[in-house]
Amino acid sequence: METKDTNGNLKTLQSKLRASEDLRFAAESKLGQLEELYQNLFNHLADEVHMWKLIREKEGSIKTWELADVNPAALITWGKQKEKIIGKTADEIFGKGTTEQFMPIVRQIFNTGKPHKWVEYFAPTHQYLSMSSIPMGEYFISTGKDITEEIALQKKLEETADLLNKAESMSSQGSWKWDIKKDEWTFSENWLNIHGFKKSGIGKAELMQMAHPDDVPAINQAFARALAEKDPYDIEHRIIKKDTGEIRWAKVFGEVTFSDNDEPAYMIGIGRDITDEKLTKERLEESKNLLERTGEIAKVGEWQMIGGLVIQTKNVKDLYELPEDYELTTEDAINFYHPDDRAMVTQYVNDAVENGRPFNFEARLITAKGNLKWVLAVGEPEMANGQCVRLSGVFKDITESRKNEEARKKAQQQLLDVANSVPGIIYQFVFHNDGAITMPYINSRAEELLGFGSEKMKDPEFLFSRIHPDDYDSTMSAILEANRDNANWFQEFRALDKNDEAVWIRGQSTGSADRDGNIVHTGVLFDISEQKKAENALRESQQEFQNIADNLAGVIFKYKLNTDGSDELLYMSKGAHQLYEVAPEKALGNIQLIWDIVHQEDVKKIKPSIEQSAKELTPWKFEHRLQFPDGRIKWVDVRGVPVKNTDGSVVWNSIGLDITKQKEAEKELERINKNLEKLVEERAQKAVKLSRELELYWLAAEHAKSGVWHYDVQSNKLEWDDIMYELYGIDKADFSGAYEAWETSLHPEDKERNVRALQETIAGQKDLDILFRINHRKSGEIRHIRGKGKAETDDKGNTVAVFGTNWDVTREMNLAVERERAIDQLKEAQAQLIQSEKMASLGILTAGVAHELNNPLNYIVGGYTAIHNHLNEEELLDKAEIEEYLDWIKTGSDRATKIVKSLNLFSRSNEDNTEVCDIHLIIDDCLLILQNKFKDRIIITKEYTDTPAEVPGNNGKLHQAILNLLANAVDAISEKGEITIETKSQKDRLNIIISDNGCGISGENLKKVMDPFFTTKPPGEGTGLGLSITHSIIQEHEGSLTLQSTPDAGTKVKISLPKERKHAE
Amino acid sequence: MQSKKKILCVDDETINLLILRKILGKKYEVITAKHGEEALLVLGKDPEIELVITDMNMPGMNGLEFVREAKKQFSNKKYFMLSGYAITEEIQEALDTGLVYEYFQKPADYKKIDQALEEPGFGD
Repeated sequence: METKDTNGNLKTLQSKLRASEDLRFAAESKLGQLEELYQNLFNHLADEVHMWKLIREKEGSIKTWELADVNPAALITWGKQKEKIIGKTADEIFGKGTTEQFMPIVRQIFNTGKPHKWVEYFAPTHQYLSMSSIPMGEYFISTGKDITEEIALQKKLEETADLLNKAESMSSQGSWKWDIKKDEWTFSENWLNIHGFKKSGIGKAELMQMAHPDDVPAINQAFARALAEKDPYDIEHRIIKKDTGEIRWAKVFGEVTFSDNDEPAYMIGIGRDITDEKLTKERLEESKNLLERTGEIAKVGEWQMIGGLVIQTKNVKDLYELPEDYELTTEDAINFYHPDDRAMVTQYVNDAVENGRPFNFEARLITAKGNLKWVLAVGEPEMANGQCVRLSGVFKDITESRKNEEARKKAQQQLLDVANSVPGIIYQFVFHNDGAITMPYINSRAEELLGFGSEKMKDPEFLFSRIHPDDYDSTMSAILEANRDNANWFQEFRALDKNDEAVWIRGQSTGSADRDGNIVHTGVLFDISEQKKAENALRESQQEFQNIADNLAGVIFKYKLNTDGSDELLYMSKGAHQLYEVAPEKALGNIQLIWDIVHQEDVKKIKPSIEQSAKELTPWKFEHRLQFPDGRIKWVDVRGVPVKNTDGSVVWNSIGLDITKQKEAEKELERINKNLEKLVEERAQKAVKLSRELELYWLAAEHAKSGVWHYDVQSNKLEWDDIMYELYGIDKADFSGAYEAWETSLHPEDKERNVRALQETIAGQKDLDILFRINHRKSGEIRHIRGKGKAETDDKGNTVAVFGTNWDVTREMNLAVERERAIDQLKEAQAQLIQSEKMASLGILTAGVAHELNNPLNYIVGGYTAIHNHLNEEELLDKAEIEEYLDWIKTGSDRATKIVKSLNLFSRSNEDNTEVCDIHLIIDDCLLILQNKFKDRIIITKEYTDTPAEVPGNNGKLHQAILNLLANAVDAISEKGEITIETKSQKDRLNIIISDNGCGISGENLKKVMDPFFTTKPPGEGTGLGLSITHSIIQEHEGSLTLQSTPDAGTKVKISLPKERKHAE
Repeated sequence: MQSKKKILCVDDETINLLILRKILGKKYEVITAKHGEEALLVLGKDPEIELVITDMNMPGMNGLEFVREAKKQFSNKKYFMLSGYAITEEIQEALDTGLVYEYFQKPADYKKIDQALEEPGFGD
């Protein structure tokens, strides 16, 4: 096993595992962030957000829905507690009829799969809501924005507008419009009241009928002047009130607007009933006249100031709420005025008195009783010689009408206040019955909305042009659609501000038709850019969430465990298709589909871990297997973060990743590691075994049995220990102890030798070391004994004794003998092998030789036949011809000789190793022998070294070796091929390289190829001995033989021979 | 006077061809080729050739292959073999089927060859 590769694999697998860990961690973090964002928005949104779970009938249609989740904002509005309403149906929470109310919409969103937005009045909470519902699997999420206030505001506006109208109607001012082309007059209600008739849309002729006949000419003149000379129309004239016939004075003012080609198009104007004023003035005139006539003050409410004394009639006193007998001085009169108005009054009066200027003013009066009244005072000084002699005038109590005026002003102010307090922009928008569109009013705040001035903002055409191109069509069509009575207009759209940047606007209004058929919309515009940003952010984050969920190699899901032990999935991302091979919708409806796929063994372990996570609210993590019906296994890494709900249930936001590949890699790693370990173990075991064997061997050696003997030279006595007796097979009782006893045990052939050795030891004090045979007394067998001894000397140096050991080496000796025998046998066998190989070589030889000799012999025969014929047939001998025939004979015999000579080389059986062997000659000889086998079939290329290629050795044997190698090369090439023979000379070696491009030798066989009897040829062809013998021949020559081969490509054989032998015999 | 019969001799050894030309040349017109392919071309060019003697061991087609091929194209000729090889099974079969008329082993006994070539039974 290549450990280098294993390490490389390990490293790669490890880094892959690490990379996938990082990815998972990143996904988890992102998920966590998104969850936070979602939770934040959910909880802090001012809008209501609630999630409902569908409850279906058996056949699948929607029956009702129950509350799954709800945000704080909704709870506040509904005034309910979360625990009490979770899990309840809409009817249960809000009362019967709620389901019915919303069923059409719920059905719609689930049929289309698309969210829906609408406005709904929700009675249980008295709210107008802008609702939006989004379907999600078996759930839907609804958001509601409370627009009750806005609706109320709208209503208030309508009321205010009504008030305004009423106020206006109580004032004496009216307005009118004359469409000159069509000759159509339209009037405001008030104007109609002034004139005492109800109709609108009349023509000029009919109008003139209402004018006082005496004034008609003047009126016409004024009209004509206005139309022709573009003067303003300004006239006072009498009218005859249609309903009462009363004569009233009207002050009318008007302006003509001209069309593009300078034609009069419209005339618009206002008119005021100035009858009272006029009357007053007339009265004054009258009174003056009367005065002049009578010199007396007369008429109700008239007063006169003569020389500082104000003379009033009774009614004036009523005005001041003075008793009848009260004398009113000028000063008094002035003092009765409101402090704030006194200055003004004084000025008017003084002006009148000093400069003779008549006056006409309204001022507040505080009566004697303390009541506030408004009076209209009209005064005319009478001058004589530059001095005022009399000041006379009329009072009119205009308190009532002033009050109305006040009311009108107040209402207007109220409107303005309302307009200013509302964060939106209030406007009034009119669809005229002639098709024109105007914006009579838009609150000044409109300037802030888009950055344009109010004139522009009042121009509907301009406003339309600022609508964002993408929203233009839908907005405009909604606007135009609102051109009907009781139309509700509600639109969210973008407009481009001054810098062409988009501003999100929500507009809503209600339209009602006025008596002329114009549709008047009173409405509000809100800048909802911020809201829209938040909505977009939410949508984007949801999208991002969805993207992550979809692209994960896994699944994101919300798992809920209820207090009763039941569980369900609240959400599962699309990844379920890939991972669990179950559609997410199906999983939501039936969590068992997922449990069925979890591996049975793992299910038992998962459940407790979930319970623990639920109890301690710690993050849950588990790696488990999935097993599919077809047997496939996948590994999943699931992690979740638990959140406890108020009802005790726990929801995990979880992510599951497919880690099958990682697991497989881990297993592979394990296997590789195990293999490595196994290998190491095996090697260790081998080492241990070896050392143990060695130990045993040494043990055996140490405990070989040896006996001890002592021989006293003087007494010629032998002392033996027990082992000695055993070794010799002599009983202790029988042993005399005499030296002769030992001698008699000795084998006759060894006796002399042993005795002599002992003597030498005694004499020369040489150590004794003898090997001899004995007759084992007891068994009668011959045993081999090895004896060692030392001489013992006295102080004079004389040997007094010899002592030593004996031990039995019979077994070893037998083994030795056997070994010798075996070696001889081997040698014999070897000799036989070599002989048979030689025979085989000879076989090659003879075959080759036979072929080779054929042709030369043919030449010889041919030659002599030709000569023979020539001699017989010709009279004259043609010398040249005869020469040719002799040539043939010579060629043939030369060739034959050569071949036979080379044969000689082979048959030499001498063992001389010191011959000079010319390798080149040897190679050429072999090629000759083999010629027929490769002629015309194989290309032989010889690349011989220039230097002499001579080595010491045996020619015959080297011939045999090289013939074998060349024959192998030829045999390796089945049809056509090449053999290259190179010789290279090194300093002290000669190298021969034989390369062929034949069938080659496989890696397995390469090891065995030099084994005896190994052959790849079919039985009967080749002995299989060639290479083994060749190899031994080369070894004998102290050379080396190596082979390289590539199957189907070729073989290269390299022989290296020394130029000088070390061990030549 | 009758012209000599034509005989084609095929052998890759030049000297052998020379010998054959010399010895057979008296009786026949000897045409030579050095290998099977050349021999086929010659047979194609010269339809008068009646006899063919070929060696066995040649480059490209061996003798037997050549005879087989030649017999297909030129069946009206007599084919003989003269070779250093002993008779193999293949050659025996060829003799049995009449593909090869007779087989002579080298070194050649030219008397025998002479006799065999003379044998009648050939469109005289």
